[in-house]
This record gives sequence, C-alpha cells and structure tokens, in this order.
Amino acid sequence: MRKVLHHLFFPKESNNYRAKLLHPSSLLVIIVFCLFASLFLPTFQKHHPEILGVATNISTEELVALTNQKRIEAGLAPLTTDGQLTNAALQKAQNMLAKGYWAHNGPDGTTPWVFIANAGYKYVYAGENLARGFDTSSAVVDAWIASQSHKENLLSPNYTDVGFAVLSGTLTGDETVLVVQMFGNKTNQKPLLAKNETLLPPTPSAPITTPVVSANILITPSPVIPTIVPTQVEQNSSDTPNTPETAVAAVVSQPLVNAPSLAKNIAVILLGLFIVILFFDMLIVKRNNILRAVGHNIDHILFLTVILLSLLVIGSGVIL
Amino acid sequence: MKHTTKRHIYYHSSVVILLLLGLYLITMFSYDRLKQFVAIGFVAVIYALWGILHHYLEHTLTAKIVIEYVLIGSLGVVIMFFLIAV
Repeated sequence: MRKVLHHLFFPKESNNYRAKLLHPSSLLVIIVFCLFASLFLPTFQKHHPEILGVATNISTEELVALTNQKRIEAGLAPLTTDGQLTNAALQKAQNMLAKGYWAHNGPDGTTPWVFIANAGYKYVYAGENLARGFDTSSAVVDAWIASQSHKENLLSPNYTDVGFAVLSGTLTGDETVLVVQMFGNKTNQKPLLAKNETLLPPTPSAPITTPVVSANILITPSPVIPTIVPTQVEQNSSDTPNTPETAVAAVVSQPLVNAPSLAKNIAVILLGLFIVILFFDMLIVKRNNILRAVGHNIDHILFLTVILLSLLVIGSGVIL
Repeated sequence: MKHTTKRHIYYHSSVVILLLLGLYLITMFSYDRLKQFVAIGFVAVIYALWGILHHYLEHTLTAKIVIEYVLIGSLGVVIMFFLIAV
C-alpha cells in the first residue's frame, strides 16, 4: 500500500522519476472522470433531489430586511413591501419557469413592466433585479450589492416600494431557486433618509421624459404606461394567491447532500492535491539533481493556484 | 548562465502577471457563469501557449511537454466546469 502511494505521489525509479499522477495517462483519466461526474451528478440530482440537491433557505422577509438594511446604511429610506409588486414578481417568476427563460424580457418580448401593470401597480419609476441558484437570502443581496448596476437599482432613491418572489423549479434544465425583486414608485417623490435615519422632506424632481435602459434597470417615464400593450400573463388560479405577500414567503430545502458544497469540496481537494504533488515532485527532483524532460512544475502550481483561488472567490448563484 | 536566469525571471514574472490578470477577470465575472467560464478558458489557453513558447525558446520543447501543458490546462478548465455543472 505504501509502495503504491509512493508510486502515485512521489518521483522514484518505478514511475520514471515523475509522480504517477502527473503522467499524461493519469491526467487524462482524471479529466475524463471529472467530465463524467459533471454529467452524472446533475442527472442523479434530477432524479433524487432529496439525496443530492441544493440546500436553500431564502425568505422574502429576510430579503426585504436585508435590502432595507443596505438602504439605511446608504442613507436612504427603507422600502415598503407592496402587495401588487409582490404579485408582479410572482407572475414574472412563474412566467420564467413556464416559458423556460432567464432574462428581463420574455422570449415573446414581454417586459417586466407588463407584469407590474397587470398587477395594477401604476408606477412612475420601476426596476427589476433577478437572481438564481443562491442558497441564502444574504448571498442574494450580497451578490446584487457586488454588481454596480444591481446595486444602483437596490440603492436607488427613486423607489419607495418593493415586491419579492422566491420560487423553486426547473429552469433551462437545472433545478433552481429563482428570486425576483421588483421596485416601484407611484409618485415622483424621492424620500431620502439622513445618516441618523430621520426622514427628510420629500425632494420634488422633474419626471424623466426619456426612458433609461440599462442591464437591469429600466425606468419608464411618468405618469403611466401608454406604450405598453399589456400582455395577459399566464395565470394559474391555484398558484396565484390572494395575499401575495405571504404566498411565496420562503423556499427552504435540506437535501441529504448539498450538491454545490460537494462539488466545491471535491474541486478544492483535487486542486490542492495536485498542487502538493507538483510541489513535492519539484522539491525531490531538485534535491536529487534528477534530469528529465518535463514541463515546469512551478508553472503548473501557479496555474492551478489561480484556479483554486477563483473557485474560492466565485459566487454560487447568478444574477441578472 | 546569467542570461538564462534573467530570461527565466522575465518568463515567470510574465506568467504571474498573466495569471493574476486572469484571476481578476474571473472574479470580475463572479456572478455570470458563462463569462466566468470563458475567462477560465482564456487563462488556460494563455498558460499553455506561454509554457510551450518558453520551452520552444529554451530548445527543450517535446511532444510530451506540449501534451503536459494541454492536459494541465484542460484539468483546470474541467474542474471549473464540474463546479459549474453540479
């Protein structure tokens, strides 16, 4: 056993002075294994979500609290949860799952404003943030804050109301949890909150006459939405509650094994293992003055370290 | 000898700079899976080409070394793909 491990991990005569795991044949086997696991694990997850799934704990209550916390920290007034915006967010989330798209506009060109208008919210300003694949409410809000355009939406003084929908389902082949955040303002007043959290007198502002469109912010001019032809959003009476504020309050799932954590742990172990093997391979060969025609281990260590660091810093979900 | 050492230092410094640039790109797209994956692919290609070019300039390039750089680059990409897919 010891001999086998030595053969796999350290350079010696039996492996031609190169750790066996660093041989092209071994690397190829590991690459094929990773590819196979990339295809097999999602399929297994699909059929046995109670065993291997995505552990999620996202609630609208927490999302509202965290959003308002960020706004207060930025000296802005907190947003009020609005039933119509919540309903609009829910309709948007259901529409995305039903039609299988991940975008602000539907495949038929339906904009978020159609959902807001259909919900009966007469807006002057409106905006939308989307998120999917996150496991906690704080991870969602942190991701929005980390993105400049989403942050601008979240911390915009133009909004007074907010509505959230959290919905789980299959989107573009993946089991996921969708979060739709819709902002709105029925007046053209921008309430500001001073650092000491006291409301300042409303600042009147001239209505914007040109629609401003950006990645995730679309501000439509006052006062109504004459250019939008409301498209009836697909509605399922059993899915459409009377009190939307509480309808999709939270998505909580606790599978036996959390798939993203499992994948991350496997990836970290694999990369760490290779970095350590390369390091010892380099050290032993240098110490024994062994000559061989192979690539520079230091290059490989640097490259795999960058991949390891990327893996540790990248977020688990996606925002739009 | 001195010249070779200097060339090694330039080479390794440039690899570090390129990889750090790649890390910056990857973290910049941390919430966009597609761009993230493209950035990782880009880093892997640059790393492999740079390594092969260095061995070529050192007159130590062999088919085995080319395969080694391609495989290590592919390993990095495949591990990230695994993470994104699961």
